Amino acid sequence: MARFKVKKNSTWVDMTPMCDVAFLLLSFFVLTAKFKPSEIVTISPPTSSATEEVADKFVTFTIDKDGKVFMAIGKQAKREQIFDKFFEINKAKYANIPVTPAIKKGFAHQDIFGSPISQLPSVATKDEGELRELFNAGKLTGIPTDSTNNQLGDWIMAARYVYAETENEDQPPIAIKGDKDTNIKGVKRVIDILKEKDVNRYKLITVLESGGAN
Amino acid sequence: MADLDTSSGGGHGKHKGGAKRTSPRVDLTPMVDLAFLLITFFMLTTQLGKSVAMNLSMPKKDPNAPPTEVKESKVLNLIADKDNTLWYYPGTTVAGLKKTDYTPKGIREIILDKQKEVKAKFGLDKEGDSQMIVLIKLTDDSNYKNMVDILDEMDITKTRIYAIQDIDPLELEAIANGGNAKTSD
Repeated sequence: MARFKVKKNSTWVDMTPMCDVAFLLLSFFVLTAKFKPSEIVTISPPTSSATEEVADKFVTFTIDKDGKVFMAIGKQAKREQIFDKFFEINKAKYANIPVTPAIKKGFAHQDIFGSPISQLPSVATKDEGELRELFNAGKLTGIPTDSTNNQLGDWIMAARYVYAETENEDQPPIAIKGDKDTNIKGVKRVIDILKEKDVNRYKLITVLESGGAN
Repeated sequence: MADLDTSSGGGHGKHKGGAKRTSPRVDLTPMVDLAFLLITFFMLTTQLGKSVAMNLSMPKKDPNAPPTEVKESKVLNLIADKDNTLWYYPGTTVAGLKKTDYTPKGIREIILDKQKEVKAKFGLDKEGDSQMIVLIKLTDDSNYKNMVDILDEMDITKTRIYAIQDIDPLELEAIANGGNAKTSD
């Protein structure tokens, strides 16, 4: 029995710690990755080489392929304020809309709003799934933008007032988000209304260009 | 740790001369490879498809403001039309519209050429940017992508003076006429 054998150094590298680290990193990235918020209105924005990141505070006006306009107020606290302001400055105009605390709460909980104000009582109580169903069925008709019933302008004014009063910002952080195939007429209409309401600086939401094609 | 080392390398020598026992030690290298591959994948995909914001400043509405006088030779007109076609012509007289596209070889070359021309004639402005003026017009058949593409091109070529304008009826006529301005009679 060879009791004292010269031990041969193995070339085998233990991969276990490396494996641990790799999976730790992997779990970290998977867990910290922000999920794309499930959008009710599906939009695929055009690409650009812009570099500014999209902030949560944006009040985004989304224009879908059919030219319907939706409003998404990023900050939930601002939703109630804008909602209150909207009815405050247009008291006479929208006096027939019943505004109950339940409707206000429902509005503040929805990430996106895209209906004429007359439909607010019925839409505000819907949850995300129901809204998506409504959208897919084409029942969410968007915020009216025609000059005789310019509710979009009223929402913009409400947002301007809220940001001027609470943040002391003359120009609210407004962003326009359109689909690649959105006809320019819808976008132009929104830009015109913004201009009418003295909002001259805003953002266009695009996605980062992939790769160095150009 | 995870390597189960039960190899008969040292000591006991019980199985001397017997069938060689295969080591149950697991090679983790492929697993590490896979893990890093996934990490790379996730890191890259989170970068892509990320929303970015583009700034857009429009002039203030002021119905009493006199129209700004511009030197005709500084002006380049871009007209976005249907099916991703883009018309362009220099100056302020609607004539000789030419077609181009949104590729770097198309629109960007045209902008850069015009920039050179304007630079030769007027030099650069105080900030060292071109004095070229681009007027962007969008026909009703164009889409939002066309608008963003043109604005993006303004950013890439560092064109600082541009404006989105309503399209002129003369321009619509010229486009319908295949680029040539309609002769008066």
